[in-house]
Amino acid sequence: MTYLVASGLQKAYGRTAVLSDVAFEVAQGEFICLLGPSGCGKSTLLRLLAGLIEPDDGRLMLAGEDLTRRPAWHRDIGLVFQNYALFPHLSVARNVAFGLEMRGLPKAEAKSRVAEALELVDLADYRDRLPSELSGGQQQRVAIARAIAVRPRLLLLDEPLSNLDALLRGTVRADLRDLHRRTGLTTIMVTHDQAEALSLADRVAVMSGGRIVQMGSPETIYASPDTTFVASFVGNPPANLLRLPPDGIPGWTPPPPLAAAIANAGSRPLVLALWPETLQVVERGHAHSIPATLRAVEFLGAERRAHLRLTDGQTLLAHPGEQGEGDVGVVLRGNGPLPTIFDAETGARLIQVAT
Amino acid sequence: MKIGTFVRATGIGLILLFAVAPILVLILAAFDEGRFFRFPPRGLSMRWFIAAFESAEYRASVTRSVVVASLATVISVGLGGLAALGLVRGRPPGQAYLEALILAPLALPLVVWAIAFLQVLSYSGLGGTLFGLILAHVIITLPIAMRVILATFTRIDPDLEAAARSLGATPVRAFLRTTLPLARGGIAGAAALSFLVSFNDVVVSTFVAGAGWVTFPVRLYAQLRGEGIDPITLAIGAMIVGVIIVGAIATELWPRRRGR
Repeated sequence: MTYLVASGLQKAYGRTAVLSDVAFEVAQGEFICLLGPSGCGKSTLLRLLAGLIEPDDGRLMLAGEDLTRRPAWHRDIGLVFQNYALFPHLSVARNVAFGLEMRGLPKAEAKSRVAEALELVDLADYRDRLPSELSGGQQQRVAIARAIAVRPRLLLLDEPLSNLDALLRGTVRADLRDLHRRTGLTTIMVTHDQAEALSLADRVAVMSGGRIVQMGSPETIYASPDTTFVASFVGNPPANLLRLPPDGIPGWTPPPPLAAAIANAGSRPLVLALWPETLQVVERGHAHSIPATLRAVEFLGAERRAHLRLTDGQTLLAHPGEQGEGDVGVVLRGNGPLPTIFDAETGARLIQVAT
Repeated sequence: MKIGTFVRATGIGLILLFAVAPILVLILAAFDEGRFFRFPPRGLSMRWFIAAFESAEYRASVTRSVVVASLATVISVGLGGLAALGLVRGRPPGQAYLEALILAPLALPLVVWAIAFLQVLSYSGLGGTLFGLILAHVIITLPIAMRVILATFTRIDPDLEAAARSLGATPVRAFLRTTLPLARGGIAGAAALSFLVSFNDVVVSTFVAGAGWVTFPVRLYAQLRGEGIDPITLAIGAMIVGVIIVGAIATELWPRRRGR
């Protein structure tokens, strides 16, 4: 069931386009992440959904109603700001009650809803504190309680983890997933951190230059990127993107299916995406191996990562073998995301090749 | 280290003493029984305070000053507040120039400005009227009020109003419930400054007021030039200081009972 439909959304400040032709659909109860680097328009899109910014063009439908020109205060959309934007002169309870007060809810009902919301974020004992008397993590939970107390039709989160320290981030990530499961609220969250997006979202919308360049499940976004941008932005580490010169990477004979696909792609400049976990360091001269120099093996606890340089100077990350630093080869292990060929000029995906 | 502390304490003490000394002289002299201003006082008496209340002329001039200063304060805080809000939140093109334009009257020596403004008033037929006088005061107090309130608004996160709107508050309500209560201190400061500047003004009022609207400072100045210091004025001065001290203590205590 589609619940939220955005189509053709445009926004420009002066001559600078911030959003260009943004269109997407969200089902009721979905958890969506808008993922992109800073300046990609994701926060603008969130504010536009909240009604704090008006689009220059396009349409926004929520549950069959046209929201495009409806002001923020009539939208019933909860927004959690990146800096929380708690009212510093009001207690925790009065912050949470604010939206209920604006809706003229009877005192008794408002009180029980505030208690319920504070219970949900585990802050029932803090109702009489001022925001300045809370830690950053607690302030954020107040902001979430304030947004959900009005029972919004949509919950928007702007970079909810970016102002928290690394230790707290993992906990809050789990809390957010839990909150979503318990409230069933359709949630849209903005983040620049691909790990957050992959771990939290039902679907991820990757944004770049004011456009949604790809929207899909975390698995799809990671393993079947539509563009070189998505391939380079998603994953830790992301895919190796190798420039393929017309006469191929020096000294490398690709496995037959891959060689055929490259030949079929014609004479245009190509980029080949190979994921680090699908590459294995072997001895130099191994069949179909890419000749490379092993420069370092990085120890990361649970895994190790080999840093390599090809003979034409391009760098590569791979799964290390027993080889020490020096001349080695790199082969495809046949696991994980398939080798993917992109048009180097447009960045568009041409084909994924099973080897 | 010890010596440094001593020097600093002495320095601060001297500065405070110089700031407060004239006020102390004024208050002590007001309680003197003599017919002329002298210091130190020789005999204590309340006679000049009683005389101050009995003098219809002084009473009228103080009342006039309070009326003019109150109206000037209300108008300059109201308009200055709106101007500040427009400059901060509206981000109009040429914001810096607009700000400079509003502050412009403060750039001229007041005497020069007052003479010029008197011409404007008499051309427009407002010379010697209460409206003209208040207009003149507003033009010098509004920039001050606007500047103070502008600084206050600039420090308040605009996302607070955005949050209020997303929670269902209309823009006006969002402003009244978030920005305004947070700006209360700055607005009170702007009002106090405006009131004092207007209440104490001699230069502009001397030119603009005309015979019908002689304010207290103008009356005082005229008295001083004609007959020297009248002890009644010292008593009135002491009472004004008293009111200001009480007001300052009250505003200091005000925020404490704010809260949950």
